[in-house]
Amino acid sequence: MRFLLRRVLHGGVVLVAVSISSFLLLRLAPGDFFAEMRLSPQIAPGTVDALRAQYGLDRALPVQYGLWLRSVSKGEFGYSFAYNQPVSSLLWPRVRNTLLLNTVALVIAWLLAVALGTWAAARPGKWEDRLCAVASSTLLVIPDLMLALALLMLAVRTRWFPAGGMVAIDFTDLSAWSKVEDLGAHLFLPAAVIVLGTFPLLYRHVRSSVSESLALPFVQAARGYGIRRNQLLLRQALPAAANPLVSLLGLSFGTLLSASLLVEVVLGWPGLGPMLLESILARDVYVVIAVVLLSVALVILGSLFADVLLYWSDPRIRTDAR
Amino acid sequence: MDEPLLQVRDLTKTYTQHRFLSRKRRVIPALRGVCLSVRRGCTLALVGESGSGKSTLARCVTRLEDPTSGEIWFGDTELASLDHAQLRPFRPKIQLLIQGSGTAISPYLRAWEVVEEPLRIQQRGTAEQAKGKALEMMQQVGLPETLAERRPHEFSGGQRQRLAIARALVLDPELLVLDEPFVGLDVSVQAQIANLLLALQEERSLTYLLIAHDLALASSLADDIAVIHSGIIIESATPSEILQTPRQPYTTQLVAAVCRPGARRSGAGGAL
Repeated sequence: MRFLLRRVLHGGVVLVAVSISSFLLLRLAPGDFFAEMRLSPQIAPGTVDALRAQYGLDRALPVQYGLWLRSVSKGEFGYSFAYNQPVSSLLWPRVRNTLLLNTVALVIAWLLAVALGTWAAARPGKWEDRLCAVASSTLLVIPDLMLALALLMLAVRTRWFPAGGMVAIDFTDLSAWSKVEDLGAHLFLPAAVIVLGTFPLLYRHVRSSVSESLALPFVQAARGYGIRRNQLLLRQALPAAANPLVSLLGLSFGTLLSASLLVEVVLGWPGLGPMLLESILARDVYVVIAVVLLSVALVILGSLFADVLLYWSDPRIRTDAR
Repeated sequence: MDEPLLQVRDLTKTYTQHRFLSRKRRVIPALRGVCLSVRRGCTLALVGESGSGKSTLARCVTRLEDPTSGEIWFGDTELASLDHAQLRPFRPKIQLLIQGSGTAISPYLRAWEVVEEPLRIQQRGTAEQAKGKALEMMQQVGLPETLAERRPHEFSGGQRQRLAIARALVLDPELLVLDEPFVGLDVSVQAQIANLLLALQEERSLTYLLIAHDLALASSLADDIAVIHSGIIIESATPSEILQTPRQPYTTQLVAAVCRPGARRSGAGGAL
């Protein structure tokens, strides 16, 4: 319990530190959201100054940070200059879309990786194993962007899948079931790109941990009592291979908001990706800070989740921590 | 008593090593035509230096490794030609005590679950019966019931070795292959484990194939000794014959390496 408390406190400190540093870095970069307005001959310099004063951009940095903290405490996370509304109301629907996409994609990628990795580890050197090795390294060297474009082309040519967006135009008129169907069809393309992008790495980790654990003496001992092959893999080898994989799971939990950024921009998924890109270019600082903080919070949560899972699953760690 | 329980005939095992970035292969012979026989109820000690093929033989006899050629007769059954499904009924009769008690036991299980696992895998009895049998087996190897709920990493080396022995015996095997059972144990614990193994052999009329590199310890436990050197049995005889009249130069070296009490005083001319 004390272990958990310490980790949560630690996470809080990291969050504050990240908020301060991202705030500083973004504000210290030259120019701000209103810089371009100054160049326009149609806007009087006084107007720009008034706008900056209205958003508090003329105050000292610590004061600005304080103001931002107050808005965080109200759950607003600052104010977007471009959209003229609190950041939180702007972000939530997009966070939801991104989470949906990444959760679906990562769950599929993990299931595939664990199943195929274990299966291949049980047949070292056979043609199935080699085929998987070649396929995964090929996928590993293809950039995600190219995968996205290739699948996009496929979708446009064959019309099997909608090529962009998240829902059909007449989405609100659909029945509940066709809504799910429509969402699934739109989800397929971006999810496939993310799965193909993350699967090879996960596969390689699973394959190597399971093949290592198959050589462990206590797993060999189980073969000596005449355990069946499937039981050997599921009951003995996989649990013994779990530790590094659980840590990896925590890390991939941390990418739930960020794995899809590029894919979203290319395939027009209305998630955080397009918005983050836009906000960075426009120096809409509070939006950027909020997204950065959310990602960091997820990474912290992910590793905390992995630690708790390890603590629960491995009795050796439990004894050491006491 | 003299009828052989295990007979190994002309057993070979070769490993092929692939060269890095090349199609060339290197063939490493681990066993080159091993013949030996273990009499029922007796102990055959297989002695040799590291890399002589002792452990490979142990793994071939227990069929954790597939031998390249040769025959393994267990009673009236030839094991080397059986596939994994056909082997399943014979697995419980031949058990291996794996080298290194530290890694040979799953860290995820409680002590009694470690001993109960083989019963569960072989589907012997109900869960309750299996637990009862496991606890009984732990008692027999000198592990009190108070330790049953502990995890293996909380055990000492000697206790872990006892646990491994309990696990190997819980299926009532006829042949127990002991792969270096004394490695990594204190001398006093070695003696305890050796006595335990002797007592269990007496009680359950077990047959042992003992794999060891320590000739002194091996000859105190064994009825017969076979000396293995680079994958071939070069000499086999009774312990006293080996110790007193070794016929092979390699065996002479092994005997000379045995530390005898008083050897230093007489040999070094009374220094100290």
